[in-house]
Amino acid sequence: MRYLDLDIKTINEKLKTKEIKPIDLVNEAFKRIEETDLNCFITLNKEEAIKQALELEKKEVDNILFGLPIAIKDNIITKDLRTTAASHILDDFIPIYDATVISKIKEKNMIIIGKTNMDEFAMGSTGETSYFGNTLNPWNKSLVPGGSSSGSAACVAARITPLSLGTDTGGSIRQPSSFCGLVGLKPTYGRVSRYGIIAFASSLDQVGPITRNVYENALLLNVISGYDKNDLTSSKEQVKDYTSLIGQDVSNLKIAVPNYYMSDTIDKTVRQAVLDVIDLLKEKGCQIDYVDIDYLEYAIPLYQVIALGEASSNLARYDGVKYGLKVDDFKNIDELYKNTRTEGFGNEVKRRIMIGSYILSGENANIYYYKALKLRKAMTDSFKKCLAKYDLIIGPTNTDVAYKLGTKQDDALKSFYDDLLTIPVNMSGLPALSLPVGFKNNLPIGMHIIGNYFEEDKIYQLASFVEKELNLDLNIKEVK
Amino acid sequence: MIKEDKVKHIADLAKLNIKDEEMAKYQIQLTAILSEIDKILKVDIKEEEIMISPSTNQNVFDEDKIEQHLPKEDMFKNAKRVKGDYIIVPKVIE
Repeated sequence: MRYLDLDIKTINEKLKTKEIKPIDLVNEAFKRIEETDLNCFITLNKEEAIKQALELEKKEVDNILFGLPIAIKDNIITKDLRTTAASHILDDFIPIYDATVISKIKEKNMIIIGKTNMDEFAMGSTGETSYFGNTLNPWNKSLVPGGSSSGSAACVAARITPLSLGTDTGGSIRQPSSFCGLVGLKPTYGRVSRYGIIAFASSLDQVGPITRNVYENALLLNVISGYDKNDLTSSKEQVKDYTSLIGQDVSNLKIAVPNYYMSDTIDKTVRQAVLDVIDLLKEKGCQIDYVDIDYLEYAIPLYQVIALGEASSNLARYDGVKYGLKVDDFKNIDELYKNTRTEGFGNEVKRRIMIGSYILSGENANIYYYKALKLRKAMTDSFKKCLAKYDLIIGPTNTDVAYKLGTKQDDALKSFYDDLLTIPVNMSGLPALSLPVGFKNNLPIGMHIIGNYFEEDKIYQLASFVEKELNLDLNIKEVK
Repeated sequence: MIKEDKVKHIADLAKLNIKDEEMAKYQIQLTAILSEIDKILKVDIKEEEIMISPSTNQNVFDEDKIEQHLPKEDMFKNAKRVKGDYIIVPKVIE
């Protein structure tokens, strides 16, 4: 038997009674990494993890996440542990401080196993833009795991670690969670500190938990949430116990289903899985209405302006001077910048920062960026209007299930269209979760649950009900 | 399709070089994205209000006091060419 296959509550009890020690869990995790061979990790933290596990033997098991192995997306900085954002330009970068979420995890005595593979600078939806090679989907190694939090999802799906952290700018937690049969949450913007996150689009980025089930997701959100004076966009809204509504009656919930989310663009089997859940909820007594949310059809071009504009500005810091790659071939400062960036960035990143620089340059800022800000406000107002009447919004997380590695790699628009249904949520700053609700050809289908600002507890309430009713077997029999 | 000059101009804005053999690929890909972006220009929005960030925080002001931050020597750890308290860069002013 593998202890890491057990639920967190059971592992916690076994740690308390000393039936197992943290080192047993750590050893299992590293053994599993070798067995599965999914390229989930860019950097392993083996020596330090073993050392920490042994030190924990002297400490009292004082919280439910004590001693648990966790995997961290490689755009979250970790003191003295290489952090690359899956880019050549940062491939020798050793951070000199911890991100706030990392400090919080360390306070709970969780054990960082390693830094997970991802799309370069979180730009992509398949994991294939990584400088360190793509991650494989443990459900079927010929398929993409989704992205950009590809390694964080694949490693939990393969049961290497029970939990991981990802980041979500346009769907980068929810989409891979959906493709890998996991629960992934993008919290409300400002709920979790962004201090120490390698910035992609600062007004969209959020860190969130990826886990095997709903309850464990809420446990990890409890730990990473909270105000941080080092992040000016961090919220002072009180942190709740996000597990508190799990198991509570859902029959009074009012739920909206946007027509846009159930259109013909979405695969029929995926839609049917969501429709089956809708039937289940109606039977339970929930009020479910189909609604129109304005401007959703403009989410992709809107994202391209906002996210790429912000990215071009954020990635201007990679200049070959302060840290990261520096080429030796240059005659002046401008050549140092250009030659370093040309060698250091991959194609997807180059394309995105070119577009971002262009739409923010000169008069274009007025034409494109200002219009996008108005559109962003209008779309957000439309969401707010809906959430004034309804507790939650549901639909599919993605248009389909995981697909073959290497699909349409030359198509510059593909990675954006993968995030068709997840992007609007980042634009508005709302919280949203992906929950496995069925299968298509033995591959998991994700359902999207969107909540009102700071109402992650209500999302978990509905998710836990559906999870219990469906009772799906999400354990992969054999990774091949 | 956008012209080669425009691709070069865009690359220059982003401080990137474009190799000749990559030119055709970037012409196609940048055109595809820019055409997609043009869709927002056609949207009719009545309201004038804008949204820069979902954060509702007001301006935060720190007290004007000296605090201990990261050690100075750590700051230079990831720089490639350092001399004392300085990072060496190419000459900027002629």
